[in-house]
Amino acid sequence: LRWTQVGPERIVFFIDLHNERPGQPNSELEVFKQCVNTIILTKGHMLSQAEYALCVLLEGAVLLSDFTLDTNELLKQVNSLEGTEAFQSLDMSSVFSTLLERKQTPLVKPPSQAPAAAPQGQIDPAAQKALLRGVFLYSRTNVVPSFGTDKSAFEALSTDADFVMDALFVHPPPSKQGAESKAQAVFDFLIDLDRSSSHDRAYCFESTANPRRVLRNAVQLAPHARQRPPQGDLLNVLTSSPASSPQMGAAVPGAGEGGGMGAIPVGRPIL
Amino acid sequence: MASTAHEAAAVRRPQTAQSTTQLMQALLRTVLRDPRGYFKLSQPFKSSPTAPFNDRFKMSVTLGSGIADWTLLLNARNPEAPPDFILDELSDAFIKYEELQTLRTWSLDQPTSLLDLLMEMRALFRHNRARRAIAFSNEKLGFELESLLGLEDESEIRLLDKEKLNVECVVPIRRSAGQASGGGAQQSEQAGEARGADAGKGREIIGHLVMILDQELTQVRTSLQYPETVSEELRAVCPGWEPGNTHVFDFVPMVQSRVLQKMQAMDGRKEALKCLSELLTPLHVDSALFLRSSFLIELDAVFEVVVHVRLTPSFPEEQPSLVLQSVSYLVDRQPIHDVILEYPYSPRWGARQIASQILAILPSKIREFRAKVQSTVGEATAP
Repeated sequence: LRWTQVGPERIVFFIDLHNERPGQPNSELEVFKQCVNTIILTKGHMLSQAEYALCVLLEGAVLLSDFTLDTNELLKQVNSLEGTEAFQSLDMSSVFSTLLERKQTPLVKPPSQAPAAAPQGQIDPAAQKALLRGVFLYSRTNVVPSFGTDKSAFEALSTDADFVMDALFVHPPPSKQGAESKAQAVFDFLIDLDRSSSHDRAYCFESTANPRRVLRNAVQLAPHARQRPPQGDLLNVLTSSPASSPQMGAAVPGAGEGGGMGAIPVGRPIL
Repeated sequence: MASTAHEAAAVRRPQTAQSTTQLMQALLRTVLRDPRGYFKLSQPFKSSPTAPFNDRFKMSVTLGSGIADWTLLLNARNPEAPPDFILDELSDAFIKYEELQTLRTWSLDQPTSLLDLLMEMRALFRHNRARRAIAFSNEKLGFELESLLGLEDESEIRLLDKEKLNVECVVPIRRSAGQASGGGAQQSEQAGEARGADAGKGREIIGHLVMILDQELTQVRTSLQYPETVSEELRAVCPGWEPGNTHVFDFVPMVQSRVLQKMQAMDGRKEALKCLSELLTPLHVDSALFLRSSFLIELDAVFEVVVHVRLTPSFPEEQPSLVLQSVSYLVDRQPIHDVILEYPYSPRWGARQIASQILAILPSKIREFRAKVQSTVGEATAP
């Protein structure tokens, strides 16, 4: 798979602005900013054709920046985000409506190229062939997202072979989660967003806010989704011992913090 | 003016079990499926309202840098008779029916009959057109044209105009024998000169050298033409013709070599990245030009790094560079980088050895990088 030419990729970041501890620094948001920087800058090394859009998660998704090739400007916006309040719900219908609308916008052309040729009102065929990927960065341990009554956008995208929804869920360690914690339910919800038969198209990570662990997960969201193997196969483990050979695709070791997922579907971890 | 008559008599053969229609369809299918793509059929119609099937077709024939329009005349009422053609004026001047061997051996039962005939017509056209250009050339230009036909007899040579007598030459450039692709011309026992010229030349054409030669060879123009599918990075720059110093017998092989080298360079890069991907799972491979590949590596369970391997169009003469990128150590939310340009390396190594060498040096280079990263960030910010 990874030797095929993959075409352009359109990535929509959904960054959770929820602050579990209003009035205090939002450490999860800081980690999410680092994740977005890591993904975009790593992709920059890969010469990939990618454009990026930015949404924030309040009680629903709010589009801040439509697709752009100007990663400097986008990262400035990301780095300036603030999250000071807690939210009690998240409407996933708005997330998927936003994604469906983005799918129908024409590809961004570099300044040196002619404007998109699609007549007004018609869908840009090049946009239809690009892969649309959502990267969902979420930190609410006590709020399971819900669809409400309108799942039409979700249903439409779930059957679209050119759409993938990745997720990265950051939460406190189990020992610090309260009795009302719904972290497991949140994680189950995110995994179930991938309706492919084997749940192996999307990547879904969970961990505590340990930057090392989160960023190791985030960098695995850099490759083009059409080119990557099933989750868990990307990490190469090397040792300094000359007798060792590299261990390819070694699962990230789980720790007491309950983070670091390998392959997902069977035996989902308990958070 | 079009010519419609032909003199060769049909060879009557016994009816086979297959229907006539199926045999006709087999003839046409062979033409349409020929990988060289010289012939395109369109606008089928019937020779008469009561004909049992369409037996007339418009044809587009690729001839060098141009396209000729012919009409193919099969005969639904006498299917075993060889076809006739309505040719354009230029083709008519260069194709003489009495010279066509495949017309004499025409057989409806042989699915390649029509393709053989068309290829022979095309070869005859090319041959006679080249001869005419040579006939109108002075000794100097004639020598170069004869040299070209000796080097590559499938070259297209034509007089461009009757005043200046400039000649256009279009020379196919093929992959070398060691890189022969799977498709290609099939040998046929009934192949005339046309198929014989192509047989064994089934190697893929990757571009064309175009030369416009004036009579005195003082204002020669040269260019390379590539299919649209070939990206800019893979296209070689065409050298110029130096009046008085350049001759076809060394210029054409030199250009062919330059084109092939550029293409082969990509094959070499692909092989190197393939070998590396067998040792390490890649995060990413540049599957268009094979210039880059990236790998996520954890060293000694304490330090993660992304290694970006970069090849240049000059690989293997120019060794791959390695860009190391920190994963969890950031400064102002940006990863830290280092570039490794030098390590033990030889361009004479095979792809497998180059990949093994890169893998061998990585642990020490990553250790050094980790030390540098930690001193940059400071222990206070280490996770």
